[in-house]
Amino acid sequence: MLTQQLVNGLMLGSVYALIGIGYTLVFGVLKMLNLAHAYIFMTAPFMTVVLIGMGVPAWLAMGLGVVGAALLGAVLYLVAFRPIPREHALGGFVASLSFGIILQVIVVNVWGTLPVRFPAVLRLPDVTLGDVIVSGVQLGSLVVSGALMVMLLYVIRSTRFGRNIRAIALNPTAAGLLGVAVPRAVLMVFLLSSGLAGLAGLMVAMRFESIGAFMGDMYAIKALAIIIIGGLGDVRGAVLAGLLLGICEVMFKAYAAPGWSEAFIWLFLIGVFLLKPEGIFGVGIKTREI
Amino acid sequence: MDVLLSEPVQALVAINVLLTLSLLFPFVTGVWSLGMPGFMAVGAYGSSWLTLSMGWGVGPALVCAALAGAAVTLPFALLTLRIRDIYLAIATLAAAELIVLFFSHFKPTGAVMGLTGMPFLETRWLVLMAVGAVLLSALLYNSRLGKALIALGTDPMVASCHGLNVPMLQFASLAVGGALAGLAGGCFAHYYSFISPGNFSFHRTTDILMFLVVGGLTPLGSVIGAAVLTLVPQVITSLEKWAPALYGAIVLLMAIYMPSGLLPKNRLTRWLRPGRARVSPPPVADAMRSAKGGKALRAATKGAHNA
Repeated sequence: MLTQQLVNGLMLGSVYALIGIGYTLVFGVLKMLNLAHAYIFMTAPFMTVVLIGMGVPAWLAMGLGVVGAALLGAVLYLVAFRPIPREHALGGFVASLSFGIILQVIVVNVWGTLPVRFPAVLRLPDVTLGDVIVSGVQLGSLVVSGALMVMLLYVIRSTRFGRNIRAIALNPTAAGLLGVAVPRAVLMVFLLSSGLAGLAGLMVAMRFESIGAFMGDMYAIKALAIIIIGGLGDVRGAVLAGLLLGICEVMFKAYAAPGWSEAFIWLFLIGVFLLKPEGIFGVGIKTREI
Repeated sequence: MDVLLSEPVQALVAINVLLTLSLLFPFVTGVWSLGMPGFMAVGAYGSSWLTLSMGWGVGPALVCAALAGAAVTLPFALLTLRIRDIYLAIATLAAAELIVLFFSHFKPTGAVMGLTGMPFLETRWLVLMAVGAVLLSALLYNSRLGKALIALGTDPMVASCHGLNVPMLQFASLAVGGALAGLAGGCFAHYYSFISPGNFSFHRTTDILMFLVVGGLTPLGSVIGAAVLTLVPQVITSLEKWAPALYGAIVLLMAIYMPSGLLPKNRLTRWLRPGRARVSPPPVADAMRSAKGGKALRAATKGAHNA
């Protein structure tokens, strides 16, 4: 039973981690929160449903859903981040939110507010390990997201692209002077982060076989908590905090008060703010100077 | 024009104006608090409880709702001592979610089913309160205290060097915001006679935030923003389904082409007190250019935009 819950927690945690990585990457390079992230998360499964309806094979449709989400991310950057005057205190915040709301309204007007069935496209056999039953989809998602996270950590740590975005996060002007093509790298970050969001959306859609225009909302706010707990801009922290929170939430639901699992996340977040504002694995944010 | 005379629309505009003003004061002070739905929930449930269980009249209950809204900002204010900017926004968001979560599990207030049966408050009272709140905030905005708040929002370090008590002023701005949100919550409860935790979600904050961005960070700006954006979907009823998208597009365009909002300067008080308001306070968005809080943010985005 405990192992079963642990697997469920890892599953939820890997979704959180994928969303959190996207959030934290964008925050790292722009120092702005991308509130459209969770809406892009929600559009990917809808795009996949449309493609499957048009007769595209499921594998391809899902791949194209992720690509579509990534392209939406690029559009988001060009429409809602790049043209905003940088002295606008709330600019990126409200602009990305507006972009996300526009996406949501489009989905609501096409599909309505009720949940839509997501076809069980992948028929993978269930795996039984002792008394733990893992559905094929669950296992597949875990493997894919685990591999992606390891790969991403490697990319951020050891490749030229990773070094570029870390340099931009530290000081974009200096990075630009030293030959980093800043706008291109930022655009790449948006493609990457939105693609990850789309993948997370597909994972959730396959798990519950039902999607809705509001499916991203709860994940969005929780992912905010995750990137703070992991330390803003810290990819490794986002992965660990995402997995940790996913497991904690499932355990909390199973063994403590079910209705209060969200309260746990918020209290954890505020606790981190008060006691360790740089995040539990983080590199540090400044507290107030006066 | 018929739309302006219909009472539900008037009530909606009045409540939205109160909420926008409640977000205005902390924002002017540079305290990015998104705790508004929490304060509103406290006001709504507080005044409902007073009228339903204690048998109070609506008037005193609303006063208490405002006071409760102000009082509940205190823990939020303590957060401002530790963190600021975007971190404060997220922390206050979390704290507000906690408050709403509490009400959705608290059996005496009906938990998720909500609470109903509150005495009805007529629309003209709502409108009267909104107008009063606008006038009071305009006066406050141009008073010595208001100037201190704007100075603080512009540059807390300089404000502190000029002898302003930074934490106290931040507490005060949060309390004013909390009182207005509590009042709006009370009005909401008594006008609709039904409240449930779902009424106090994050979406309410985002709507109000958009009103503020479109209107500009001044009392008159918030009124215009709230009124115009609330009325747009009411006037063009065929667009009702697309109203949020329309908001989104308007806000996006405003953020790009008019980052300070429609009314960055406070024209209402110039009209109220022609002699004293000749020098308008600087719009906060412009002032942020030199503000310490936004420095890292700007430095970080500069390259991304220019290079």
